[in-house]
Amino acid sequence: MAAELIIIIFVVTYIAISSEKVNRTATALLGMGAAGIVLWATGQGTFSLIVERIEWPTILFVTSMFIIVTIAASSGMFQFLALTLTRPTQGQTRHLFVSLLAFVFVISLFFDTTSTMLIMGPLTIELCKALDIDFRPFLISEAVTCNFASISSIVGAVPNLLIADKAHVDPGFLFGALLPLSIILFIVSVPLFLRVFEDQLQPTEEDLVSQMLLINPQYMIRSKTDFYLSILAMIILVLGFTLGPGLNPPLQPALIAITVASALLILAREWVDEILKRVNWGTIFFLIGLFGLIASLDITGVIDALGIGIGALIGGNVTLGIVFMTWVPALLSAVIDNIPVSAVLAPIALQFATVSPILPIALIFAVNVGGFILPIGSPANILALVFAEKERRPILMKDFARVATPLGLLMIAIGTGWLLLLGLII
Amino acid sequence: MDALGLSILVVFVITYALISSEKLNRTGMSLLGMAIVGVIFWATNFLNPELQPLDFVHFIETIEWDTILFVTAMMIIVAVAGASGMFQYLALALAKPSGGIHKTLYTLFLLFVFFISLFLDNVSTTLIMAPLTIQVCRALEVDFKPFLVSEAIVCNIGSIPSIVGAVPNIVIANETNLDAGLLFITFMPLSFILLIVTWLILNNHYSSSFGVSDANAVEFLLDIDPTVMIKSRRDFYASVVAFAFLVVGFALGPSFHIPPVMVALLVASGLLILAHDRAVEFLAEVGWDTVFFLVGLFGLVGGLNITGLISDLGGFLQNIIGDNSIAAIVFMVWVPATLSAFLDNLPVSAVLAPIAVTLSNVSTILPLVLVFAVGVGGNVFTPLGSPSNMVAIGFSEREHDPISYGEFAIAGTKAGMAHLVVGTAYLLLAEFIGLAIAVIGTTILGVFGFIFVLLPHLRRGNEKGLSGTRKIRDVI
Repeated sequence: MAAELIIIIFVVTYIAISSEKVNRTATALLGMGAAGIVLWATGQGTFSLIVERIEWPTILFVTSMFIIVTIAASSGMFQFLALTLTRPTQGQTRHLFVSLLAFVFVISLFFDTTSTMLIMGPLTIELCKALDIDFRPFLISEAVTCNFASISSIVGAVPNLLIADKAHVDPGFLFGALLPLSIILFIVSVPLFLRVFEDQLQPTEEDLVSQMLLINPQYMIRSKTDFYLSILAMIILVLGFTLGPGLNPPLQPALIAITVASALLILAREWVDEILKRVNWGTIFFLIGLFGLIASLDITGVIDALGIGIGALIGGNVTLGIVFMTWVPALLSAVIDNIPVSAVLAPIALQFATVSPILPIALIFAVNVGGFILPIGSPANILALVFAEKERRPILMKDFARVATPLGLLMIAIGTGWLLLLGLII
Repeated sequence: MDALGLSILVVFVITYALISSEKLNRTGMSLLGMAIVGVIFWATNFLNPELQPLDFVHFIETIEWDTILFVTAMMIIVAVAGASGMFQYLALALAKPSGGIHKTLYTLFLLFVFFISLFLDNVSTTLIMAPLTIQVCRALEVDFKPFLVSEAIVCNIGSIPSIVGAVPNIVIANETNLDAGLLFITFMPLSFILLIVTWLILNNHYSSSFGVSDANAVEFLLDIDPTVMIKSRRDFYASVVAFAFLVVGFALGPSFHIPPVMVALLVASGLLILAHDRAVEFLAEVGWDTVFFLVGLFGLVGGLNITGLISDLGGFLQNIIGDNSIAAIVFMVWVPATLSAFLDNLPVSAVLAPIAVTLSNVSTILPLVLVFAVGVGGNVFTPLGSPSNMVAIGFSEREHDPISYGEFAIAGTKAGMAHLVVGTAYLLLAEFIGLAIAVIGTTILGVFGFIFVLLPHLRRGNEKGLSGTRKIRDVI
């Protein structure tokens, strides 16, 4: 009874959020509250149980990254980077587009998808505004790229961390197995993006470009101390995220992020309240509500039942297993946030790691790519939408889906082929 | 104590010292302290892999997220209500009878705080009262700091008799199966006496900052119709309904096992949905630095808890008390009070509630004693003991006229010590002469106290204020 009611609340909340008629944050929180009432009324658990099951380390991690990025943004660091990056493109829209995507591809390996979007979103918008071009194609393509580019890196996305942690995936094996695939996907996706967005990627007017090239990137730095501090912070983050998980015991990214964020806050002193105000609380509380909903699905046993069902279907067949472990999680993470999907499916992947070591890797691939089949599948997409909304030129969910859905399905097909090939070799 | 426990304790003490020194940002410092505890846990595992793992994820889970979520939800509600003009309306309605006499205004405000803290959690009370107080004080050109400090202190004692008055009360009541009616009867007269004691002490402490406001300011204030303060009728009614929901939910919830955090979250999300496009604005209004300060603080206490320091303390207490009921009561008042002066009173209650249960063969009123002690203890020595104090300080900082920790500590300790002495006497009386006699005695004392101490100020203020303004009018 409780399970059915929770599923209904879950579905209704998702439909309401996807309709974009109501405030996303408030709806997710209300859904969580309603789930609490159901659990209370049916005696299945207390509200505190839901609160305990929310993935607070992830929330804290996202918040810390928000804080770090806010400080870095106000130091002028991104503006500096943006200008330095775009100089060689001479303002040519298509060149700029490709070089930005390549940059996203590289930093996705080190940064979590959310952080990547947090860094790239404001930068892209600033650049496009300066060149007077539509930033929306850029944001959509970047969100897609940062999702699939992170598949080969253990720190590239929170789901990767979760799965690697639970299913004991070797970071080296993951990198070797999936980096070629992600490069293939990049090579496939760029021409497609260029074709889809052909109309919007018009060349910029000459005088805007020349004006832009006149600016010395150094002028963009607002505060020298903050600038050097944020560069130092970024270096520590990259080193920590790359080396941390390999240590024994692993150094969790959340710990690294909160250490760096709190140190920066202390150095920022007076305007802490200002910085904290600028953090995107709407998104963070959206995640809290979402995690709360998933937690109540978990409490009522819906997620367990799902796992058992999948386990029974796969049996001991490797090919079937790979196909399943790509398509089902991918489609699931299209609708549900990919972090909870990974949290649920990772134990199942571990169970089938004995069948083939490819299965956990297939899961990592699937949840990352699945995250952009629909815009609500990954926090990075939501961030892209939020950034556009803030600039009062919103990306509609259906605009995002029109580009990302076919591309995502294509990528999963390519990935399935690659993984089956790997399965034959190993 | 092993090296791990010792190093965590050192981090804890240094962090507290640095926070109290007010040289560094509070939020950053408490989060950094928490992060350092995380790093120490990691390093311990790194050096001795055979030890039981102290995972950061697990460490984060020990933070009282319920409370964090509750505080945030309440802050959202207050942000919406604040934008509607509800507090301004209330503030004017409250300030009018004072006629601009600061002492009368002060008495009115403290009585109001005392009353609402029976229904609302401490943090919520402060969140509602602080912006309101600041506005009235601004209008009357009087220093708001004495008001804020006194309100924070009063809301800590006002919540003692009510099971929903403070989160620690709920925790202790859950753990010890405390009867809500018994709690109310035992402490209502006492906390009223404490209110009078507080009034006497703080009135004396702050006497220099009180006077009569400039006649023009008073006139201005008296001429305003409170309803003009309402900025948006829709928001105003939504907020009124929201607060009605909260009070009913908080008052009835515990008997149906509905936690306050659920009530608060539902109300907050409902208000945000109504606000629609402005939801993001309201979220930005929340005092995030205070919220994250609490996250860091809870993390630090969680670290102490993981290393077993807090439970060691509990065991130690149990050994000392033995089976002497006087010692048990005195201990249960002073030790938790002292502890919650430094630690947040919530974790202190969580740790000591089980001890109160095990010691209940010594004296049955020990759980009650604990509720009293953590409530009062939030005020003494440092403002760090109760989140509501930090909220009050947070508001004063926003106005760029910060209450310093030292200032708060002096007023809080003066009043708090008196509370502890009066309370101990009352509890010993209840234990040895009988609860009924103690209750009746204090009730009578309370009624007399009200008539002779507080009432004259309310009445005289009213007459003087009105005649004062009238005189000025005549002159003009």
